Amino acid sequence: MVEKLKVTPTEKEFRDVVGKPVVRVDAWDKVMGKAEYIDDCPIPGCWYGGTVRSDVPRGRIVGIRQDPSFDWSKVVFVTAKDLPGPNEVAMVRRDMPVLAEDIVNYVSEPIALVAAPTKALLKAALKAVKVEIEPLEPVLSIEEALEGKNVIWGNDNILAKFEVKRGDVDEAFKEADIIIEETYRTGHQEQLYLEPQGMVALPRDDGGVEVVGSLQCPYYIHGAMTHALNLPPDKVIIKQAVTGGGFGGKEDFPSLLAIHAAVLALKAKRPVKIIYDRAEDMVSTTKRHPSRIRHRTGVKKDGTIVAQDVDLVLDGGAYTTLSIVVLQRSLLHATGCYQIPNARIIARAVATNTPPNGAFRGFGAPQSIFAMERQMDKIARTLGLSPVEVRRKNLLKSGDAFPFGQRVEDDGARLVFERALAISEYERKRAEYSKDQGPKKRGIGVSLFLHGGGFTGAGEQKINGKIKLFVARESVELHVSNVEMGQGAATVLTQIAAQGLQIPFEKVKYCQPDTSKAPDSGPTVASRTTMIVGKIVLRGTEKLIMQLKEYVSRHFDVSLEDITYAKGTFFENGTPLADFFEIARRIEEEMGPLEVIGDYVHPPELNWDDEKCQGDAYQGYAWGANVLEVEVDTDTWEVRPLRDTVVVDVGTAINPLLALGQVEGGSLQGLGYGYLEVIEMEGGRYRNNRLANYAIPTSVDCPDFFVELMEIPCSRGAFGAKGLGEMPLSGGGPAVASAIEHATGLFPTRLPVTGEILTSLEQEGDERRS
Amino acid sequence: MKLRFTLNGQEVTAEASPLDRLLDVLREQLGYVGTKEGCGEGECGACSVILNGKLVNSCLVPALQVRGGDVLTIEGLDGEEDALQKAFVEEGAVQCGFCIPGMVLAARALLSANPNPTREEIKWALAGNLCRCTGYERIFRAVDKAAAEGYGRKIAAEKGRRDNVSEESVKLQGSEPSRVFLPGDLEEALEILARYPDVTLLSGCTDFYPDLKKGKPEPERVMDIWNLKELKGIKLEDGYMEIGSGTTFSEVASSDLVKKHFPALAYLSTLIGAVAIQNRATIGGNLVNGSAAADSPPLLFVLGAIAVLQSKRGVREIPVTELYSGYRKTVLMPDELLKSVKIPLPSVKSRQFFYKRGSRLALTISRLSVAGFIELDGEAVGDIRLAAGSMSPVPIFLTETEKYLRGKKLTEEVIDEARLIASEEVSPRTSKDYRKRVTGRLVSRFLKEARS
Ligand SMILES: Cc1cc2nc3c(=O)[nH]c(=O)nc-3n(C[C@@H](O)[C@@H](O)[C@H](O)COP(=O)(O)OP(=O)(O)OC[C@H]3O[C@@H](n4cnc5c(N)ncnc54)[C@H](O)[C@@H]3O)c2cc1C
Ligand code: FES
Ligand code: FES
Repeated sequence: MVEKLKVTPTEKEFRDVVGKPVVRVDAWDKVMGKAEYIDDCPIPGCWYGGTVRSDVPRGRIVGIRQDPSFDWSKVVFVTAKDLPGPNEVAMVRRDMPVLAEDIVNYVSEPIALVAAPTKALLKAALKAVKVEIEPLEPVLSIEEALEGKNVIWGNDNILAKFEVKRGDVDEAFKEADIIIEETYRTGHQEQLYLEPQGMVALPRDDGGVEVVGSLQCPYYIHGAMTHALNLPPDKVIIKQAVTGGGFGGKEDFPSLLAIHAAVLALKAKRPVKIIYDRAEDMVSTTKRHPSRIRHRTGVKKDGTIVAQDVDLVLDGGAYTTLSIVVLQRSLLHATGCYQIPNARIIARAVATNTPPNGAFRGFGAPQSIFAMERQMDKIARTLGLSPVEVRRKNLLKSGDAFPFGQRVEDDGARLVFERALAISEYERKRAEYSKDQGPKKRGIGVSLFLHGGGFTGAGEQKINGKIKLFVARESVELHVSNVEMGQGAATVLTQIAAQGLQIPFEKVKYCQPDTSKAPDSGPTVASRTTMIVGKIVLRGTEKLIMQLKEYVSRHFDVSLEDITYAKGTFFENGTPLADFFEIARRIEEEMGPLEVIGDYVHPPELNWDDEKCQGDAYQGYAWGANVLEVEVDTDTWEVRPLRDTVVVDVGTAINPLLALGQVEGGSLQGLGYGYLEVIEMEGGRYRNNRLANYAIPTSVDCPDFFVELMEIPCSRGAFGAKGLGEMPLSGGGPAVASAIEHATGLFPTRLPVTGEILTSLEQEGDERRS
Repeated sequence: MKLRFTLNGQEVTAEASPLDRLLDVLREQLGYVGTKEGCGEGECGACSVILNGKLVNSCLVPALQVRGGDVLTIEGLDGEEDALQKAFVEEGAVQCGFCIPGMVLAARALLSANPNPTREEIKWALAGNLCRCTGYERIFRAVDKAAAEGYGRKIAAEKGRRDNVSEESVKLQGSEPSRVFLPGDLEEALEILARYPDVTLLSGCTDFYPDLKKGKPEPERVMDIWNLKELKGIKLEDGYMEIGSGTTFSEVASSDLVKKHFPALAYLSTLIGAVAIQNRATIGGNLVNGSAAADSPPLLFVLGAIAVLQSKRGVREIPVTELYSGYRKTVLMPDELLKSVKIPLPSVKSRQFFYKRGSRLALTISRLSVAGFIELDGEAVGDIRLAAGSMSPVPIFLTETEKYLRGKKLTEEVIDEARLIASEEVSPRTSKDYRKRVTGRLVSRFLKEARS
């Protein structure tokens, strides 16, 4: 007789967690103030690091002078000459130096580093460094970059260029009843994660270095560190501390910051911590790319689009960072949710002498979608049709193709659009608000948007993400390199693993990312964590269960086909045999630690041609519609968002409560982008460099949200999930512009729609009339 | 200096420099790292704590003003037993969590003062606490939920559990006695001021710390005037309302006297920063600091307010309009301080007006402001005063507009002409067209309101 193993109550404890509003795993720590962000971690003997920066947008470094009256023996000082490896921050390219050596290319570019035992000494040391720079004529705008009078990057200031074509645009324009042209512009946007950037580097006895910090992409940093420090991969360890928001701002930038901290720590031979204060963070870290997007659209009188030309330019700032991939996403989202039979899209990213722009939630899509949605409103306005009708006429349906050839697989665009119109009572309010008298006028606007989940094109294949499940005594550890930064990844991935393993949620432990323990499941970007990484986790759980099944089969001498597994228990033809953890324990005892790696498998039906920018760009598209109601004080151009109805298709809401939070937070960030968040440049310098002059929405500027989640599953995402994190942001900007247009009759073509912009539109109107 | 105060119900001591911020004392001296720093200048609320029952930004409170005080930080709440924290967790109000300790305390401060707030009241109470993750919706719901469970009444009942600080609450060390002054009354303060004319006065410090951030050097000598009773309070006397210079904007906003006689001033006070700023920012500091964007000066200009200046030598009164000698410069003598402002009580038929336009609705610096005072003489304009702020180093009177309006009946045409004149009287350096147009329209709005 084979002994029966213990069947524990896990069977009863397991409950479905996918689709449930499970409480976040990190909520209590955070609400009690116990979560340790990087500046909260006590590190004995830690020094403070700081940065000497360029004060000019472009110039030649003539000299770096250290005031001889300062006692330099008490601190550590580093310039480009002291770097242990190549002076390059390895990202998509290697054009950005760790420290400027000869030429500076933007205001605030790092030139030298200092570490000191106290904050006061650090401050004094930074003051005692004088950098002499011979200024060169800078390139400060998209126009100046394109003009090419001064070349600051490559031969022509062009960081990247892509083109997509479909059909015969020139021929099709002849068929159009009217051709509508407009140029749209969007400004910088600061991520404004509430926790500023921070990093601690700790030298290791083996000559390596460990970095702990506020970050999104442990392996990006790992790659950049091994390159810049000339260290083998096993001598570099990256750990994530609790991270107070990222939004893309902690995607590429932390690579630079981590190298800075590490260089100082290695030289000082002790831990060094660099925590930016808000001003330093705002002036020196990456922002959303400003854009100039020209649309030329051929339409029939009834609003049907026959052809479209798009010329899209992003301002990349001084170095490439991620501009190539941001640009690709801009390009691929350029025609939004509409069916364009003939299209030509040319996209370029240019270099300017401004701080490098980088990742920010939406990653190029918000600019494109703003321009496209505005263009739809412009078509409506020009033809005297309603914005809703024009959109309905051209919506992408299942089976339609994007300009780059990919087929649409569902009717999400129509479904979210109609639902949002219905629950917001759009038509009734549109009519009612049109009658408003007096200086305060209400307006209602609509935007339609989409987001391709996961990396563009072959990106996921290149990353080839892996996850690890490690079975401990009474729990399963989940090791991934995808971080929790507020969006809920720790909870959602735990839900997916628990559901996959059919064990109680409480028994899965998401482990804070640590490159010495977690395999590279890729960066926490591109709305890929739930959809793509979740799927890899799921694959890992299947593999683990299969291993246990095989053991059960051997142990009980039961053929594999007769064994089923449900809710933590293995059965032979319906009779319980053993439970999950008991089997796991036995395997461990007999064969050592039990762990499995889950792998990425590329959906074979998806093909992408990177050269031509053609094919299946994304694994699935999520759709959203945003109906925003505002009140505009037409005396002061003060805007108050009143209600925001947002309907989004998320595929499957793994955790509906967290999904709602993503939609609300992303939408508000989009509204801020739409009318509040201004960054003006003055000689290459951000004028809005403090919270006092960079306005993000407060609780009073926030509308009441009415969010509805729609679920049109995507087979390629975990449990049908689509990428959600970034998408809601894209809806905010165009919805604000369209609502303000309704309230005021003015037609804004640039974001953010400030009082200044409305005044100038009003003046143009006055002049035209007179 | 050595400092004693009550922290989360228990007496603690800390060694700190007098100008260390409460935030640093908590985080670095005492290891209470639940309180976060998101900006260090009062603009984000991540550092919010409750000091002596009031919500404050701990990045704007000097250690020396915490002596003998009662501080509540996030670590002092009951966690799973705390209905508010529980509501935050259950309603999904937490994302990255960095704003959350401050947010929870701001919500607590609200509920303790107003146990059943409306959605609008919640929004205004949390306006000083930025959250970039949540879109606030879940936070509002969490506050609603805690309110529904009677959280406000419960915490009100718990009050009084603090330790009373037993011994002397502060001890100056080393050279501090010659640099740091903690007068017990106004007379002593004036004495010190006479002796050390270079001493910097510390009141609510809401301008002091942001100035340091912007690079102003730390002063050599400081004197704490925050606690001086003689500088506080609001009273009516001889046809004037006298507001002590140390009166906070919270106190001004909630004063029935102010609401009755100077509704525009009460309204203005609710728009100074947000709650935690109003709890600390004083009207005297706002006037003396003389920032171009300060809100109270334009209104005090049109209300004909008088600045009461006092030194050991005596008291003198000057119109507030004569207080400034240049950008952020006043006519105060080195040994003088501002004791109070006196505002003549307006006649019942007069109307007053204050309007500011910042970049957003709350917690916002004025990009322009307009203040007005009018008395109609029958249908015609009698006394009229109009001032605009934020567009020049010191507020300016719109004298041409006033001149034009005097004696005129407020017809549509007259109002429209006044609008045009007013918009040409201001000369903002940036965003010219926009600010000029809006100035004109606000004048016209005021006149229309005055007429009705
Ligand atoms: C986030 C934030 C938002 C803000 N929003 C607004 C706003 O919307 N509108 C606005 O108008 N202001 C705003 N302010 C500024 C406002 O808070 C201050 O101007 C405040 O009123 C100054 O008072 P205080 O007591 O804090 O002054 P302190 O900072 O203590 O002192 C400021 C200066 O005044 C001097 N001083 C203070 N009291 C006296 C006195 N009795 N006699 C002589 N000198 C004195 C001090 O020596 C010092 O030089 C904001 C500030 C912050 C940080
Ligand atoms: S740290 Fe932002 S308000 Fe204090
Ligand atoms: S939860 Fe991240 S800032 Fe509020």
